[in-house]
Amino acid sequence: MTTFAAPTIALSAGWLLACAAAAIAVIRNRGGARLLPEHSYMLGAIGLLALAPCTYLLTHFISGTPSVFGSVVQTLTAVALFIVAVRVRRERLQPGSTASVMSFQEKSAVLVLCAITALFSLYFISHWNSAAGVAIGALVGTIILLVIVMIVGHAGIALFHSPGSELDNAPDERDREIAQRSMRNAYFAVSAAFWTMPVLILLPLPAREVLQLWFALLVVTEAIYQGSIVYYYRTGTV
Amino acid sequence: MAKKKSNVDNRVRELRFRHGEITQQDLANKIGVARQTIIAIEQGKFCPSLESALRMAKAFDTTVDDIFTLAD
Repeated sequence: MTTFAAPTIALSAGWLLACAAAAIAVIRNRGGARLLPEHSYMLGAIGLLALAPCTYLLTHFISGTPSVFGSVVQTLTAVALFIVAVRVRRERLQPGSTASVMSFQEKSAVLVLCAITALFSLYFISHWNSAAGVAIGALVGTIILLVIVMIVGHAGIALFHSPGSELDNAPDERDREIAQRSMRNAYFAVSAAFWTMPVLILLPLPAREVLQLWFALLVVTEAIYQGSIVYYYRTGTV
Repeated sequence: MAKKKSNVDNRVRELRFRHGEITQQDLANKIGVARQTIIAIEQGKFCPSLESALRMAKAFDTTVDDIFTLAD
């Protein structure tokens, strides 16, 4: 069984007491009868910071090997919550001061464009000539990773997007026009990909490479769609 | 990225300030569009639909051609 030195225990206990004192200070200085959202975010951040060394000690105690992964994730989440708390407080005191020029849809398009470009570039560079079984496994892994990046990324965008009330807004006429123009651009790419297929089959290429090429064209189509959205949001549709 | 030049000029920003410094968010709420759409209209990056232009004219108690004019 792993045992810890007395200074480590004392340091952790001191850290927990400091976090408890910080939490009490937030509650006592809330300036009203109830907790505001900024106080909830702040208390959540303090709680995570308090737990970070405990998680490290606990994983060390259970597995016998030190691992800082859990503590690092908790600390990063705590920092994100602190930033959100500060932004929420600033917005409450000065409405409109943290308003973003970019809409949620635009931020989402930037995220999707960056994610598919980065992940699928990595996949095609690494597995263009791989055996079918390996390539399919890597492709499934890439898609799962893409879904995780999308979920975490959109949660992050929603958390930091200000004012938060805009998240409930349905796409308006500008969003719809940009989506339609981008869809038109993507249609040309899909159409080109479709008519390229017979030519690809005629070429003396292995079937695996033809399939990779066909899939790459679909990825490029999606990149054109998302890229067009970002382009039209930035430059306008006039 | 170079901004595209609109063929239509507008006085939305000027009229907002003439009408009690109405905010972009308040104007957006009256017309039924996003705040970013008002920003894009003011910057000449987006031409609103006829319906939105009419709603805007109603919000400013004026006519559409007082807000939007063809650029030279």
